[in-house]
Parts: sequence; C-alpha cells; structure tokens
Amino acid sequence: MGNRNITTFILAGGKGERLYPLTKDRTKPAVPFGGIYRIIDFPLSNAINSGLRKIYIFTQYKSLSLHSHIREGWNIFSRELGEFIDLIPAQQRIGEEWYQGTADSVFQNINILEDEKPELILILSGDQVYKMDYRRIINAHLEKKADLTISVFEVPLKEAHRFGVLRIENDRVVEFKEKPSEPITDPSNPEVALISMGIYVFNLDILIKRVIEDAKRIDSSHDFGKDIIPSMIGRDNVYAFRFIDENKKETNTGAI
Amino acid sequence: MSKKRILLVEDEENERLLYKEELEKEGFEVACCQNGNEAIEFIEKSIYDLVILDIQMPHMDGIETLGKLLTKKRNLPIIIYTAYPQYKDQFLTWAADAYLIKSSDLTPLKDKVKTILTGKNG
Repeated sequence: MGNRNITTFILAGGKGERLYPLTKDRTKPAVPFGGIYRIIDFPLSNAINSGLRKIYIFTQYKSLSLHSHIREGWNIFSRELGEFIDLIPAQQRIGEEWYQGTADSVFQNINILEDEKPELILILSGDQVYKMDYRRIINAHLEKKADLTISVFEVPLKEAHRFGVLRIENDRVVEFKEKPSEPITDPSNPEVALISMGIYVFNLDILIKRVIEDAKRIDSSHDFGKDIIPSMIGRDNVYAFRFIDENKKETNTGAI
Repeated sequence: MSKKRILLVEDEENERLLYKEELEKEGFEVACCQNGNEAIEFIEKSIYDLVILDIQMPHMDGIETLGKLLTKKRNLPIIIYTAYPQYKDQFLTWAADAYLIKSSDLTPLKDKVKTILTGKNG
C-alpha cells in the first residue's frame, strides 16, 4: 500500500442493545474487555499495527466513557507529523438530527473528506474483537482496482441470517443481502455462508457519490449494510476479501 | 394541472426579480427569499417542487443551506446557480441536481428547470 493517503473511520456510535446491560451506561465500543481494555482497542490497535495513523472515531450514544478512554489511553500520536486519533461526536453540522445510520455518520462528516482528500477510506466498526492486518485488504483493493472491497468470512449457514450475506464470483460480489431469512450459501461449501464483517475499503469519489445519493433517498435507513452496499452491486466494482485470521476467529460481540 | 412551484434563493435583488420574471413567463410559480435561513423557513411552511440556490449569501451560505434543505426534504430537487465554478470542490454541492454558472443568457437555467420539472427540455 506504500505511502498512499488513507483515512480510517471507526464507527462507534451504535447503541449495542444486544449487549445490554453491559451497554446500560456506555456505548458498545467502550465496554471493558479483558481487564484494562475496551472493545475499541481491537480495531484501533489493528489500524496502528497496519501503519494507519489518520483515524477518526465517530461517536454518538453514551460516549463519555469512550471519550475518556481514548483521551487517556491513546494519547500517543503527534499531530505535527500528521498522525492523530480524533473523536468526532455527532455535531449536527449538516442536519438537525443525530446520525440516522452508519452511512449518515459519514455524510454528516463529509467536510473531513473534503479537508483530507484521502485516496482511500477504510471504514471499521468500533465494536468487534479480532486481529487483522488491514494492509492485506488495502493491497487486494488496489490490485483489483476496486471501488469498494468488503472483508468477508465464513459462518455456518444457520448463523448467517444475522449478518449481511454475500455471493461472490471470482472475488467479485454479485449479490448482497442484509440479514436475509434464507441466506445464500458459499458455492464452494453449501454448509457455510459468506458474511460481511462491516469492514470496507472505499475509493474517495465513489464513497462520496454513493453516500450523497443515499442521503437524498427518503426510503433509505442510511446504513452501509442495508442501503449503500446493495445499491452498488451490479454497477460498481465491488470485491470481497476473505478475512485472514491473524490470531483467532473474529467475534462480533453483539452475539456473545 | 396546477403550476409547478419554485423557491428562488438569491440575495441580489436585481437578479432575483429578473429570474422570477423569466421563470414565471415559462409558466412556473416562483417564490423568492434572500438567504439560507429564510429558505429553510419557506420549505418548512410550504411545498416546493424545486429550489434554485445561490451560494454566496449573507447569514447562511448556499452550501450550508443545501445540507439543511437536504436533510429536511431529502428528495427535493436543487439547482445551484452561482457565478463561481470553484464550489464544485465542496462535496455537498454534488448533492445538487445541477450546478450552473450564472450568465446573462438564462436559457441554460430555464432548460434545466424544465428538464427537472416537466421531464422535457426547451
């Protein structure tokens, strides 16, 4: 990935209702994990170990604990060197409402992309526990000349209905259904389905175009999984990247 | 069929009156306001089929206005009508249905309005 200009967005605004009561007083990314850690430390340390040092964290619900943790635990970068972890609470810069969905959180902060003008944007969830070298997905994105690359992994078919399920042909995503009642199976193995991890690499132009297009739709929930990704299949170059397990299996903490 | 309603947001009085007159000649109903704050009040009180929006205005510029209009009436068509091409660099302007540069010839503006409102050009 060389010296490419890449900005990382960590979406950390979710309510985390499935983890209640752990999320009674704090947002899911701020839930403690293994003693001194918080869930957001996983995507953050993955990013830093992947050489990504321009990081914005979008926050919304019950974010005090998360803000304190980032301020006190991650004060490691030097802005003078163009490296930072910035917390971006919902500011109602554009609209007068809170973030309506994951895509809306990017739309409401479109000024950041204007200022940074990165070549690529890596979008991560702040509430997943896994180890990943993002350089691999970024390199795959560049090699395929993709508009969007989605990190995917296999789950048993009976679990797939809780996720965004994909069908791929030669790594190209040809179908995407968010939480389908009858998930599509992986052609190489009918016992499993391929699911999206909510980890995306976008080219700047296509991200802006699709997020703005979505912002104008009245029938949209303004969510990457439900709205943006399905709208891109068949017209943009969307590729899947099979998650390479750097440690153990990815766990969406929503399901613990 | 009732007339299509246009909201014209323009701070320069001479331009506002000229555009209003010319668009009314084309059979449209045109309401006018002078800045972004007023534009938001107008669209909250009444229904419009299209907004024509200047960018350089006092109180609230056209780009901020565009964002606010968009989140209030998501599918409302908007034409940016400005003397300056450089605002295209601001990503929010990509949300407009057209970005036209002001000219003494109002034909491109009228054509675009007709295309958006009637599906026909000229």
